[in-house]
Amino acid sequence: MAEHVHQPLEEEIRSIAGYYMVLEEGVLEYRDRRILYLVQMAAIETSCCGRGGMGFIYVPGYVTALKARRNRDGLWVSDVERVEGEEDRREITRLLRARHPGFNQVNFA
Amino acid sequence: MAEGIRDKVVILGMGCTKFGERWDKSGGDLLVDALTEALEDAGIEKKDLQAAWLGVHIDEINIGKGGTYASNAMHLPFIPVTRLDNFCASGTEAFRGAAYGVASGAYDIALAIGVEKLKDTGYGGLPDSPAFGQEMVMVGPNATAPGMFAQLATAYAAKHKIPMERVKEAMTHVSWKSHQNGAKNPRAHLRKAVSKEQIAGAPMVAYPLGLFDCCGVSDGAAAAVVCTPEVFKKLKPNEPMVKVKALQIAVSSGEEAAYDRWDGASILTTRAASKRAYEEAGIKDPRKEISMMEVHDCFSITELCTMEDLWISPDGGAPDDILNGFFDLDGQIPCQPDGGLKCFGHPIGASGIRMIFEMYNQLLGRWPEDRAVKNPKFGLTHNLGGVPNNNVCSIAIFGVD
Repeated sequence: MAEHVHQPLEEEIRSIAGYYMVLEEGVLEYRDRRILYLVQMAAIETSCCGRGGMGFIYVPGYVTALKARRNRDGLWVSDVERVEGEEDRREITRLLRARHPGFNQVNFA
Repeated sequence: MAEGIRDKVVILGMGCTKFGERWDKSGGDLLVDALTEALEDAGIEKKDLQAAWLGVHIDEINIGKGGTYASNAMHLPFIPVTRLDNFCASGTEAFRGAAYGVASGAYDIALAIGVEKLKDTGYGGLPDSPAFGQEMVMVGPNATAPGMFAQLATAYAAKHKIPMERVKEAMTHVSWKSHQNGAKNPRAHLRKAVSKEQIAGAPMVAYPLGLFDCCGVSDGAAAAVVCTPEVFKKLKPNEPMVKVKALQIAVSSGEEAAYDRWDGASILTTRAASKRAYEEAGIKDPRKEISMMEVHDCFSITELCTMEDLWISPDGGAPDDILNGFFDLDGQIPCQPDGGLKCFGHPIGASGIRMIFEMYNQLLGRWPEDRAVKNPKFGLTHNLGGVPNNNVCSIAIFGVD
């Protein structure tokens, strides 16, 4: 079991090399379970090694308790279970890419 | 028999600009600001400087070749000014030039200064330059820095049979720790603490390196005035002396890139240079004797591997040390107490001297309690210029007497 802290939507999360933001949160029904995923975008504008931008999807895991409580910063926290199996990861990636064309990078927590 | 320069050179004063998007300042302005602070700290005037070494890497858009731009900008008094470049070790190379000038007896007081201005080039990363000569034409189109350092991570995980999730967790801690430290530093470019969730949720740049595992470019300058211990005692009697204990450089031999004995999971130059530096400084057990470090965290995996390449963590043991807080600000050997490249960015010619600036001020106990290292004795700085299989590494060790 792991915790996922929900970041505010459309708010820059900045590093020195660029930033990313969560555009939307979604739930994917998958084999009688629910997958929490985040549709995100990034701009890498000042990295030492170049620049670029991308849309990508981040998958915290299977939802066991969605937005169950708030943390000290007032952000929602969900309980999730990581997606560990390679076959599951491949299938979830395929489904998410089909649902969000153009978002090719799918990262799992 | 060569004996190195241990205790032959002392830092008389230092200066460091705020790093960042310094569109308000030219490269020359940044040099003047760093020099002015260093001279004030040293308690001397410009006319007292007898020689200067200037570190800068991307000369084509900053300073030009030679020493004239810098000498003109700072109005130095007709002294030798030597511009040099050795990739990301350029700042420490400038310091080495000034220190060797003093240690040789050629000069009593010398200046080391480094600068880079990269934010207004019209390009996000480092502009193309003939840095590697003809090799760049052959290798450059086929490789990126994050791509090559990402392979350091996969090779490290494979060699030590450590799950990538564990390596990634340690890299996340590396970045989290630097942002915690940098948030307190008024000279840092990015002063913002980030959560481990935010780091983990960032996009992948080159697996397993995410956005927060990569450093950025910046503008900045840093300067050091060095002298002999005798001169220091005359100018600052009864004040503590920050002495150079060791200065070493190691450059790739071609073995890593062209032969087949290198396993790709460590940086051989760092291992060679640090071994020589400990010997020069008289340090027998770096894990017990080094008090703090500023290392070249161009990528989080670089910092992780460097902990082993500096002989601080046992081989395969860096992730455990990192996750146990060994390198946190309140840990046994704080690493990047100023925030490192993750928060300062990397104005290449200035970075090495910026690191020395942090060690110098920590050794003198000048920083506020919330970012001070407790009772430091030896501080180490490390730069790594180039890529894992072909690079320049510098190690400097300082101590206070």
